[in-house]
Amino acid sequence: MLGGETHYTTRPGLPELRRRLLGEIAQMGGPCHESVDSALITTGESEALFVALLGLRPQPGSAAGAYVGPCRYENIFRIAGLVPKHLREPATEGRDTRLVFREFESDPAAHEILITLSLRHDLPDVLFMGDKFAPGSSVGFPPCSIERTLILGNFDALPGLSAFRIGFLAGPDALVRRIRVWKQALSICSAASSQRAAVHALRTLVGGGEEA
Amino acid sequence: MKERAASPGEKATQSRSNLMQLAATMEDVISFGAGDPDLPTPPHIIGEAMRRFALDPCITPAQGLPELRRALAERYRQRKRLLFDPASEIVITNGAQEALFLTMMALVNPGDGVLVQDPRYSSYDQAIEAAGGRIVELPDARRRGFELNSEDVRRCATGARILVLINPNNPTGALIRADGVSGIAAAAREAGIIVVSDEVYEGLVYDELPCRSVAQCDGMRERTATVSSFSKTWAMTGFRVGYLAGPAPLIGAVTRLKQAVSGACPALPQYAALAALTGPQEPAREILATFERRRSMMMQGLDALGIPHSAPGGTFFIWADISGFGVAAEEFCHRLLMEHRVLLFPGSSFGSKWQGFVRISMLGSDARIAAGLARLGDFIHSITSNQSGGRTS
Repeated sequence: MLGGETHYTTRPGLPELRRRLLGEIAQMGGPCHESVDSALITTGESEALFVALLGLRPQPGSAAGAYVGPCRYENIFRIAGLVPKHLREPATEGRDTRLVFREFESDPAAHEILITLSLRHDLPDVLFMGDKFAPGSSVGFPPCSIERTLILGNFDALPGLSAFRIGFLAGPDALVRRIRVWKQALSICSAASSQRAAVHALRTLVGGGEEA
Repeated sequence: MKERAASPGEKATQSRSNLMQLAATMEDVISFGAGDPDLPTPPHIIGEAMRRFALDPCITPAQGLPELRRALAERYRQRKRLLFDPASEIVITNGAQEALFLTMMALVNPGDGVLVQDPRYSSYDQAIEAAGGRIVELPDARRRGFELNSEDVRRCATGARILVLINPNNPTGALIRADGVSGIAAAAREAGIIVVSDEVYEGLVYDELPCRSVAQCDGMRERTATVSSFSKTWAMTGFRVGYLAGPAPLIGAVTRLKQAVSGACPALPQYAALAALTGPQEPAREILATFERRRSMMMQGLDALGIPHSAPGGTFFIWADISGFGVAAEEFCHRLLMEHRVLLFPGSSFGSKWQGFVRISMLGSDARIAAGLARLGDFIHSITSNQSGGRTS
């Protein structure tokens, strides 16, 4: 801040933060995306989910997604104008399904069913990490698709970062581009101080100096 | 994967974003593009934010830091004689844009008509679209320097439920004067319309004119959602702190949405906003004076280039008419950036019919503004030379 970083950042987020985020997701066993356009920085993980739903939805009121319950975020689906459907319901595989949503800590069988649905119906696959983004750890990444999986989460597992309310979204750049116009419409960009704190935390935790 | 076509609002946001991304890859670009004051945030704001955060790096309530809400309520009382209960009638948001977006989600039912100015910042369209509303464009009022009046509202009021009023206006810079605001408020009241009043630029109003809030008008406090922010007045866009003040039921609904969609704003920016409100006000006056001086310089420069333009009563935007050069705004801005390294935003990213206009932000030192105007002049000269060459050959 003292260096003048008190203005809007690049709208999708500081390039260094996005680059480090993508690198760490790959290190943790997730998909490996090269372009910083594959990442979007948000204000917490729930904003990441909200803008993802806005960017991926068809029209308000259309049914969207199959996911395994219990899901903590049904209200965000509804606010975004989408109707969540549970796997146990017979209509799950209907043509009006727009995306697949799964939580990181679901059991392996649920992951398998959901990613299979995503592949079979050519649907975006939203994998919600929450606070499980932990560089340097081996959390056991569930199966992902490089073409379809969007990974959402926050940086709260990094020391001292929870008060900065910083989240992310990472996935195929074509999908992320559709979503980031909604992030821009909702809050332009995330707080510069929060983004800079996340960069600092990642540098401290996993090493690497300041990027040019 | 199934793709849906981008909406006009999405396309407009994307258009500006693409230009900014392109400019970011180039050297020595003079940016008259973004809506971000290029002036430094007053140091006392930064210092106090860091001090408070070091003492208490908390997660605040989703509605926002109580101390900040109290300071805002006090400011409204002192400056506008408006009484808001900080406990139930103010919510702090991630910039004014989140306040506006969530207000739309709270107020608009699918199919509701929402009156909007034309031209306008495209994020309004996306917020209305997300809520399932129906955009109803008001007359553009260009013959009155884009200053909307009560007749414009009355003419379009039938079937509308909400009016979004942006005063001073982005992108035209038009200020609706106090009597005009009162007239529009009366028209809204008669038609039973709720007003969402975007007053983000209220701190950047020139010629010592007042910026009347809709909520100050008779019978409007209970039917107005007032949206504003700290970003422009104190040059602190990167902190992302805005707010919504209005009737308790609305604030309750927006707070619940905020809790679900993004949770509390980070504490550090809220401490910065508190310092802006409670600390010395001279820096804000200096920021205003800087933009007022730039306004004169920019308008004189455009006059010298023969480019008709608005005379902004507020904001740091000038809405310039480039239709006489025979190049559509998108192409004009793209070529100006590529050939002369000046970034402007095309009018078409503020409404489809504004292909003959550009938005110019009054950013940069006097020397940079002069250099930017010179480059703009070179570009216009090259266009007009080619056109006259084409005609004679």
